[in-house]
Amino acid sequence: MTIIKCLLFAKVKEVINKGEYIEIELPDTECTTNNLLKHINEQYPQVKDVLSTCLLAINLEFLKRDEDRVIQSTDEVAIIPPVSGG
Amino acid sequence: MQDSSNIASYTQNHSLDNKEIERYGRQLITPDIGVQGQMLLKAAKVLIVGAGGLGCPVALYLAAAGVGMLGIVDYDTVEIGNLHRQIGHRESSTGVPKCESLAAQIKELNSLVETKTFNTVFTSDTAIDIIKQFDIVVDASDNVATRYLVSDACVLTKKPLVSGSALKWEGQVTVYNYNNGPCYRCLFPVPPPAETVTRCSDGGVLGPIVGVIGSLQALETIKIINNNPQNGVLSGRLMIYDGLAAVFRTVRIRSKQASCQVCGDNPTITQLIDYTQFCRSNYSESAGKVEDRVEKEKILTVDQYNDILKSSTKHILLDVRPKNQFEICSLPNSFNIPIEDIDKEDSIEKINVWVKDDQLPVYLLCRRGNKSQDAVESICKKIDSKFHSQLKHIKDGLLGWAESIDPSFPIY
Repeated sequence: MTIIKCLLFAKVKEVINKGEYIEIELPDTECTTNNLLKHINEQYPQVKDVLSTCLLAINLEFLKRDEDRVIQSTDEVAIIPPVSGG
Repeated sequence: MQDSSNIASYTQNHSLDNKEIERYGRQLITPDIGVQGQMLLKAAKVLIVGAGGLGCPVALYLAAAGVGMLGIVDYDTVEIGNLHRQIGHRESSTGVPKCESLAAQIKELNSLVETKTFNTVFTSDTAIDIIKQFDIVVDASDNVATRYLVSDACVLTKKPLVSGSALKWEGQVTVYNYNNGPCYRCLFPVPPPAETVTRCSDGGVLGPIVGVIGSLQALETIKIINNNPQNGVLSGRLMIYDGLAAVFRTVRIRSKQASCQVCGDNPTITQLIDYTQFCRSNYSESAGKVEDRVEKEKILTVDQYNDILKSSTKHILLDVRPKNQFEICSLPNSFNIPIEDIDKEDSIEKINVWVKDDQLPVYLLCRRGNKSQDAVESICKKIDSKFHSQLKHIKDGLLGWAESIDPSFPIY
């Protein structure tokens, strides 16, 4: 298994309610961003609506929408929802 | 003593007068600004959408820096609850339109700056005509619908957009539609579901957080005006500030999206649309009255609850606000189980004791009567259906209580 550390921001952090980050275990053969999102949705079903509007960044670079990328345990994943307040 | 008309022989290549040189001295000697930068600032016209937590520092810093013309759009009036973060307003401005209040502060700070105020809701009908009068737009708004409207309007009028947002302890800032960079829709093509959006009035926000983000917006605006090729404008990158952890992160955004509906290769949005419909929310942060989502049988008005209190009918009053809000103020004899914990095992166990063993009605309460509806539904999923009729939510919540029953109840 590979552990992926995901930094959480704004609404995602609030809804998941586990602090600054979560760690998601992925089977070594399934280490992609789409699978990561699938696992997060399964473990935290309450985040589903918010997650669909989020941007995913790997090592401080945003992924394109619908892009599926291979990730490893050394990658820093960040889940960033839009913030609209002011 | 020489005559002061000799100024022209002392200053060449620019038309800054002695007062301006004195006022902007520290700025003029800053590398990469100089007299040329100051002249550009003086000639610049910047529109600020929103005169709130972000708009205040943006306006004050740009005014102080000598931006020639500042436009301010805001339909709202100053309230005392704005002042902990909206530092461009004063106690004496309570009830005054925010754009007028902020413009007055700008005048006091720097009388050389011209202001144009728009005391109106920024909508699809008004946006283009207003934006056209300016060179750069700053999004200092507080709601999703306005953010999409401002971004689309900037793409359609080809204006750079300096966008900032903040909530609680966090903020985001970036520049859209600059030098072929991405727009807001390139990043967020689909608006978030309305029910997932937290407003500052529900989630809270700190003054220094909007202060940091607003200051960064002012700085990016100055860099855009200054137009220095080495100026590193925050375009194609999103800066995220976590004030609680004291961390800034700058995330690279892939360039403009070819598939973007408004700035892409084949745009399908060529004029402004109805953004309230698109986002299923208003051009406003204020929440207004909450609509009923639960059946009529599960609704209790504040007047009905007041009658129950007067008749001393036994019941349980369950307040589902977060603990820190419950600590500010609460109705007498109420219990607090925050909405996040309401469907947890020990909470349901407690509720079962009330409805089953004690055979008491349970009235659910929150600030506005929104989350209390969710609470009724969550609890119904977890307890036997024969007890469902004992659960009701109090419509309009504590704000309704303060409005209709007891105006001395604290409002926050």
